Amino acid sequence: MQDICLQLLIMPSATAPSTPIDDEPADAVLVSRCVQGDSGAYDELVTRYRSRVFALAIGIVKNEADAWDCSQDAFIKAWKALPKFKGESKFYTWLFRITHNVCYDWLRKRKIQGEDEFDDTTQGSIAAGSTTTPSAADRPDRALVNSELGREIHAAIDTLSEDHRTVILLREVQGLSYQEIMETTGADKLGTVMSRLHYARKKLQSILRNDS
Amino acid sequence: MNHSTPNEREELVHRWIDGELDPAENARLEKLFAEDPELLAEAKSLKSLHVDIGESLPVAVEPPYPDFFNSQIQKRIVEDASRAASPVKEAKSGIFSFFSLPWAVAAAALVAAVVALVGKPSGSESGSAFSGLELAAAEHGRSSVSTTYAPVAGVTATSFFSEEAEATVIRLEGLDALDDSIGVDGQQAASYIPDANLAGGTAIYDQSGALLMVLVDDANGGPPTFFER
Repeated sequence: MQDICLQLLIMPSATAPSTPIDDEPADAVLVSRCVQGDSGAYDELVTRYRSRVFALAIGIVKNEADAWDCSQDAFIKAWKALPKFKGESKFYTWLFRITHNVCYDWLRKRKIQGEDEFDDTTQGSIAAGSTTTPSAADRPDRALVNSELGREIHAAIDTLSEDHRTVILLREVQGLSYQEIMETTGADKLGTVMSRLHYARKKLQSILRNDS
Repeated sequence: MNHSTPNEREELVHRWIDGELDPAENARLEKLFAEDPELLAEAKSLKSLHVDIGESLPVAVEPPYPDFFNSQIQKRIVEDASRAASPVKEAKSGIFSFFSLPWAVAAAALVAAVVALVGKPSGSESGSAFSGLELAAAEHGRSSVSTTYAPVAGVTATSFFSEEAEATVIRLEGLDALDDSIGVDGQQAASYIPDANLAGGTAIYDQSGALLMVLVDDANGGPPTFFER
């Protein structure tokens, strides 16, 4: 009998997107090879950024299965759009923007289809310890994730609007600068990013204070 | 810059948290902290929240089956290129939906037991054990699995539509032999219910609602345990 098991590899929090180690080609080199039709180079980029794209997608759509599909779509869209990528922003910022747009499209479609038809509580109803439902909260090596405070923060973030949740994910989790967040979300100005971030933090602070 | 209003001071605090202040603004804020203990306390509280959020949410989460994740992208790139040359209507695979569902392991275990797992055609009633399979609509309203993937080395997954059963059959080959003590028969599962009372167990029922079996995860990470009715 085979034990088929899904697992998520949770990586430590960081403040900047992953960068290639010394003997790996830079993003720009890989992008250049991709534009020339080298899908192997794109495979390297996918490997390099899939975990961050997937983490961002989970944070926005709040569903791992759909996050998987959104991440796939984001990488496919990015591949198709690579010839238009001028390198004016960093590759990961550009990729995050595509991911953000794909996830927002998904959220929009879900709303059109009717939220009643979509059971957001599915994950919570699954039997504890189920091998088919990987969850960050199941990892014993992530102490804060499993802590009371971690759960409260997760719950508080879930109450935020999509725009406020996204800016929190991009700034506090992915470590993007205001400028990069503006490029990723398509906000019209830095002030919009700052305003959303400040509001989101104050809202989270208020929620967490009331809970405590 | 003169940060005299509450809003301006607040903005200064947030930008301080994010490390976006220039030296002059930093000095200005330090002076404000010295003059206003409440502002300092608020800033420390927000800074603490900033740290807690960063520690409570993973910056990177490797998607399940990362090799499959990559290969699907490569596959779709090739398909898209082919489609551009000669457009062919094709359903999206969405195979992860299968693996994401709690009955997936149970279904896979049943496959191991009976060699072939009989699934319902697309459009089966909601709540069916197999309704989560993303079955691509094929000709004549029949169903077929658009993509199969076996994560265990040496195991291959194939599928076909059985005229006799009027159902899609998924076959896994290369699985380890079953222990003779496990007497799972070939009955068709129709629904599942995760049961918190069973500490990770999932109860599987047939179409009449009778309990077929219970799958309980091993607490030590070993293979799941089956309990027959």
